[in-house]
Amino acid sequence: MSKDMLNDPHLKQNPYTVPEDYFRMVTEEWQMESAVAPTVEPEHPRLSLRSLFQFAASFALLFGIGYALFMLTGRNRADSQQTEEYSLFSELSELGLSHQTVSSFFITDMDEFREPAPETDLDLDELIEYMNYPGMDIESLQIDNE
Amino acid sequence: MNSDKELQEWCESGQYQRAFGQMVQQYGQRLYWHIRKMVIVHEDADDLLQNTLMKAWTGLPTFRWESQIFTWLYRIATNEVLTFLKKNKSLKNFPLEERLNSEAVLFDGDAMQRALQKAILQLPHKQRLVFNMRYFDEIKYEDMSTILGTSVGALKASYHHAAQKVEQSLKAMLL
Repeated sequence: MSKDMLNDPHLKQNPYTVPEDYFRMVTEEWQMESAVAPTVEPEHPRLSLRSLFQFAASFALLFGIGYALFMLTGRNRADSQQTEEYSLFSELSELGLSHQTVSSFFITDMDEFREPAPETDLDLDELIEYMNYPGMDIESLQIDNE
Repeated sequence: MNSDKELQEWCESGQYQRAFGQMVQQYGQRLYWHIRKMVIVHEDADDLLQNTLMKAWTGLPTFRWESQIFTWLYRIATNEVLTFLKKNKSLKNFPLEERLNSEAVLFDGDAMQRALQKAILQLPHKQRLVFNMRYFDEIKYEDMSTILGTSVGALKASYHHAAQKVEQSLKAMLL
């Protein structure tokens, strides 16, 4: 079989058939149908200038309220945070402490604030040998210095 | 044969019935065969054609005339076909290939033509649409792109792939 099988014009012919006079009947049916069935008329809503202004005004009002709320809550949060900081420093400074001294209380770059050393599991025999100090009572963990 | 411009003028002057009657006469057969090649059985094709024409009739006043009437009608018919193939429960019990073999199908092609139809039925529905529209209807890729909402490049690739599959199936059946 050749590669261009599909180019055979015979294959392009329509092999299906329809009942006799089918297409004439369809055309006549639809000529009658369209005479009776109403078409759906498109709606053309009219927007008046007044309603457009009303819409724009309500949108502007909503936007204004939202913007005002946003500005108010944002300012309050910043203000309260600043107020807290000032109150702490003012209390400490009344005790005669300088700003530098007060700040040092908040320094976290100190060894004790670093991450704790990882725990290690001690071997029990090593631990007992270590604890086996001359005069050491391992049970009571008391050292007899005499 | 009336051009789209004439049909548009009739519609704009309110002569919808006259315009639609002309559309059915001009495009009715093409629409039917487009549907029939996909669903095989005449009764199903007739139902889908009626649905297509009803939707076209009710949608005619809102048609914007930005595309050709032909592509608009084909798009409605294509959507009807795809919905039918996707949702029709009777297809599960009576698949398209079996329908093709049944005596109820109005088919008077020879063995080679029947083998071609069987080979085409092996394709997925959308690819079958592309193949039929290009091979039998010789619709331009640009128009097909408007009808199916797919790019021209993708359609060309789809058709080329479909043609290869159909040829291979045909060779397997006939040799």
